Amino acid sequence: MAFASAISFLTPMILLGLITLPLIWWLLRATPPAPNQVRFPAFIVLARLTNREETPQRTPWWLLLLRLLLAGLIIVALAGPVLNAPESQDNDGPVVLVIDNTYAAAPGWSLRKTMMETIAQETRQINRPVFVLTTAPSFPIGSQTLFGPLSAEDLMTLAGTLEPLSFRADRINAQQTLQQLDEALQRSSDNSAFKGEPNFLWLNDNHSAEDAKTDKQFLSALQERGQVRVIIDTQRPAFALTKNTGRGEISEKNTPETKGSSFTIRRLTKEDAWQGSLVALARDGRVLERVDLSLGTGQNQTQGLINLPIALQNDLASVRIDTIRSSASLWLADARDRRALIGLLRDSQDQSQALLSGNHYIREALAQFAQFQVGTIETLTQSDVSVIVLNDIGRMRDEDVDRLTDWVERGGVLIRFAGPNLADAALDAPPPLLPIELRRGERAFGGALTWDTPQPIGPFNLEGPFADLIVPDDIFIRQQILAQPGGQTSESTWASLKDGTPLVTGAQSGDGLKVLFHITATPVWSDLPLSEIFIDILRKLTFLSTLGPNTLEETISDNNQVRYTPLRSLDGYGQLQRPAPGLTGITLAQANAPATPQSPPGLYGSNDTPLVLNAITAQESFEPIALGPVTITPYEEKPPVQLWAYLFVAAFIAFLLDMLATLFLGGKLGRFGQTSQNQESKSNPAKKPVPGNIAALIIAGLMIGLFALPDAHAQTKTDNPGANKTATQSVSKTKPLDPEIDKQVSDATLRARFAYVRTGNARIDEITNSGLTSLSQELSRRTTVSPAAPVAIDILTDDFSVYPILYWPILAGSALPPDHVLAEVENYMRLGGLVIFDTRDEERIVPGQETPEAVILRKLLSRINIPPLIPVRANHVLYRSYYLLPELRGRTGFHDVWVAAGSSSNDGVTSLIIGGRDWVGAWARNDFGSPLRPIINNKYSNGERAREMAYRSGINMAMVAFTGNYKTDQVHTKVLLKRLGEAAP
Amino acid sequence: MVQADSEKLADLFPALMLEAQRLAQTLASGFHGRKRAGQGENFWQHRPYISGDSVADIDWRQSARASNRLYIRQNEWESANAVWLWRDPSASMAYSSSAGTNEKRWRASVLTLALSILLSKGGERIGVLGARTTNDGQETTNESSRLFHGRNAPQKIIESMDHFSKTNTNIIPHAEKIRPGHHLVLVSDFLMDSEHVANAINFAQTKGAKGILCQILDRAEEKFPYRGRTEFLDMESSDRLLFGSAGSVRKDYQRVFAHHQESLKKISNSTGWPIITHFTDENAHNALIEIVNLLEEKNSTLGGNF
Repeated sequence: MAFASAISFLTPMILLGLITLPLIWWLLRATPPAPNQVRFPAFIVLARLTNREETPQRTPWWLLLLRLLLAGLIIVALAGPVLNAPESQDNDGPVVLVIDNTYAAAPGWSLRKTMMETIAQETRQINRPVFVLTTAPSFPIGSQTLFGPLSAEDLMTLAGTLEPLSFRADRINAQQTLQQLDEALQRSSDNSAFKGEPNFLWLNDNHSAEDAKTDKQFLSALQERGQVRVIIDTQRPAFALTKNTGRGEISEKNTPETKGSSFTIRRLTKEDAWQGSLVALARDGRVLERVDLSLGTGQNQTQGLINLPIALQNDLASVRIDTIRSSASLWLADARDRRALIGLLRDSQDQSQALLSGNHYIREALAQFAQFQVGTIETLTQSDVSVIVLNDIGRMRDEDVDRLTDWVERGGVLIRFAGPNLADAALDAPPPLLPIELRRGERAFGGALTWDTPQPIGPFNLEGPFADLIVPDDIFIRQQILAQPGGQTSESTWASLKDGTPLVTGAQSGDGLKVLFHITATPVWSDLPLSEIFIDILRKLTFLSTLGPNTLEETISDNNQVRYTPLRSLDGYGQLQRPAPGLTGITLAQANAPATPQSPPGLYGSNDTPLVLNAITAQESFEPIALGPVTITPYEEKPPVQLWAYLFVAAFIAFLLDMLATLFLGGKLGRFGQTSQNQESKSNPAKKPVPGNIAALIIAGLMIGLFALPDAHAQTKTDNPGANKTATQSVSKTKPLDPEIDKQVSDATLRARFAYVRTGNARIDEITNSGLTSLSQELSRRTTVSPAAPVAIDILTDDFSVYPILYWPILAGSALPPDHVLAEVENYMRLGGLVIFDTRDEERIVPGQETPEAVILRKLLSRINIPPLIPVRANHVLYRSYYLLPELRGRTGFHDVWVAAGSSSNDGVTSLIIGGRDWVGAWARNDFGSPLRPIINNKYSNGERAREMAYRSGINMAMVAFTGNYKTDQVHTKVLLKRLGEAAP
Repeated sequence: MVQADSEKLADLFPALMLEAQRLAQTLASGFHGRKRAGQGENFWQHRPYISGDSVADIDWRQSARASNRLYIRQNEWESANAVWLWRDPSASMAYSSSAGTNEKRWRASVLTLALSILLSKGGERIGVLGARTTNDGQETTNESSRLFHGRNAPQKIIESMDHFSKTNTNIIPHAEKIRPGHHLVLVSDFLMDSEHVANAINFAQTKGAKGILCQILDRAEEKFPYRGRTEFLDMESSDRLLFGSAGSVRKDYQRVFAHHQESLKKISNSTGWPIITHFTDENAHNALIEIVNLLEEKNSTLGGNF
């Protein structure tokens, strides 16, 4: 059926059509191509020619070849060639696909998909029934693990919908399901042509689920039933990521200084060297840290250390192995893993004699999962610590007590350690903030004057938070503080000594918790601070606080059977999904156990402090499968490719070439691809065939583009969408705190100068520049202000905040600046800048009609927050600031000039002047000092006088811009002097 | 149909006119009037007043400059010759072998029009042979127009020349209005029976007219650059000829073509009507110069007739 090579044909009989090619050859040779048709005016001359040679030219050999190729391509395409076609099954029984849809299969799941699709294509022709058995536990519970008999279409659908689950394979269960398979096979063989032994195809995940024995049993169970092919994914091996328990590693790697969390990375293959990285992600998806990993040849395990800054540690949401999509290579952070912030009171012995300081032991115990903050009660209660440890504090100021009480009521966990101070304080009065009432004095055991021997720790209170801890028997308590016996005390006692006296007592207080250790934090009174259980106890307490004080009550009251509802579940790829319906939630005990279908991996509880069940725990094995003597084949990377589409495209191209060649031979191609000889056929210039041909070529090109790329490679591309996502979330580049100052801006600040808005109209900009230059010259000549040359500002990009005056000629039809620029203008005005809006339109104003410039200005101002406007009237500071003026003379001077009203902002200095008087036009002079624009007479001034008044107006404006309201006072000088005179005796 | 045609005309008239004017401009300076005082529009000279001159003719401004003298303003004398133009309207003129060169018909029209511009500037009267004239809505072809003169003459010519009419006849019209001393300028490819050309010239000669033949040809008609299996279609009839290998008959074609040209030359020599052969890939300027020179030569030699 198949060729020896990788190409095989679906219907090879059609290839017989190739026999017809010689016939086509002969036919094509016999038919000459159509003659060139040429319209020719000198026909009369031609008519007189005597010898007309009419023998037909033969079809050129290359055209013949092209057409034969075309025919051949179509015939071969019809025969249905397939590249990389799978080898056909010799056995004619049904096909049974045993698929390990586990997390270990997730990284190379596309290979399974391809495999299923391949088998679907293969069986489509012959209608062979297909069964699918999945070996991962049925999840959601009760869902199907056995599918079949399936048609090719059903299998295609299943290939599209079957996804890896976040469990390890359950081959024991799968072996039981084989009996159902037997029945199904039996039923199907009754009404099918395929009655032979089933062909088993085990799409293995290369992961030993339970142990080698189970795997082998399963294999032999398959082999009993029929022929088995095992296909193992060696290309994309799975990785397992587990967090090392803090204590286990502390001796080897984690010196007390390295406070990071270490992770173990295991893999199923060890043949190849591997490079990768560990990525720590925050809850919002930020990449917190990336650690490079490498595994050498023959190495199947390595360690990675994620060491985050303190501020980020509680943000950690997950750690994953980059580019590996599997829930096994993802570790989710638990609220229990968050580092609590623990407040300690400053201790005089902290530094000098650490071993004598209780704080030192607390630090050592909690260092793995907490940060510490040292301070006073006042600072600690104000900070966001979740636990405050008071080591042997007896007397407290009342306000500190109040603060702590408040803080505990709000939800803090207060842990107190007993000691001489507390015992001493208890002598005077019952110390505040204790879960129980104390008896006076402490009790010592085993001393010279006591008859009791040191007491071991008794069983933990089953109602208390330490119920699941194992009681050590090698810890002795030599001294303790006693509580007043009574119902309250025994209820609050979470841990006690063998004789029933309390060791740790705790009580709810508001939302928080008060805990008292009846011993010191130093090993003076007991061995406890040196023991492992001390860490566990403290950790439990911290855990209670981070989970929120509310959960404690539930934990205590519900006898540790509180169930956390599923929040998100992990799919096989390691992505969080909505939890499957029907899950009952998990208890804390289940959270610590390996995942089961009843307790699938994912997040549980509340969103803020989720409880986590990871797909794989450190205790679980992660070993490659060992099946013994069985042939194992790797996956075919390349899916079978149906070649007919490509061949048809090629045939289509050949067809187009043939058309072009025919046109070429027929001389209808014009100048396209033709040089000199046959192009005289164009008798009518209006009739141009060339564009038509080009259009046909373009259309053909588009069609090829549409056809040519079937979705053969679509899957390989979508393999790792998560990888790129995380890679792009790199931390943004840090900018220097002080950006470099623009040269233009720094120059402007050295000398005062005017700025104007560049309009883009060269003529207007030139006038504005010249006008402001002239005004600057006049200012230098007449006043102490000597501005430098004016600057043109691009309002959109330049920083204009450093200029005292911004002259803004409004151009008809100009575009409005965007809002952020207008906000800059607003800011500029508010911070003391003066904007002169000049519409230059007074000559053209018709009463009752808006000039185009006015329209623009109105639109502009409607989007700036401007103060109310008034026309400039007599005694306005603009008329008084340097010269005494009757008006602000521009080139024209008929209508009002508007300024900001009143003293609402900027100390009453106007931040804008609005007019249409074309001041720059009046100021503008050429190099020889003669004015550029004519000035128009009004009732105040005309001719040269008017020009002078215009300069004076400009100087007054500049003075207002430079001096602000200084001159405003001058307006009232007369009154002031008068008053002074009156006041004088 | 007529509407569409006229719109197309309206589109192309300006282009045609422009090109003709540009062409005419190159010669305008050299084509002067009669250089005699007389009826005309252009100033010729001042001369002293002699009794009998019309008082209205006195140039008062000029006279005021000199004391006791009166001057008469004289214009140049302009006498009108009459030139009949014929541009071959047949379909075979609508041909150009490549996109770069003009159609023969276009070149013929431009030449005719440029000539008419020059002639009308020189004060000649011009008319069109075989023009389409509209009388009361009825079109009659093959009638000569009347003679135009003055500035608007080229405009009238272009209208009556009917640039876009394509007749399938290859006939030189017999102009009844020709008078002795008139000139004929025949612009055509003359790819017709040479007998017919001879007849037409003879008819005009019997009327006492002189004339010039201007043959517009495409280079392809001379060179015959075709190869391969080619079918040739006549542009004026539905005749077609198939050549198995056009390249192999090129020599024969060129021989027959040369023979045709030779026979036209003979007619030219025997009738004294010079023939100019102009190819469309050449500069139209040269052809125009030749025609103008020939016309002026005839004027000066036969000047007595006017």
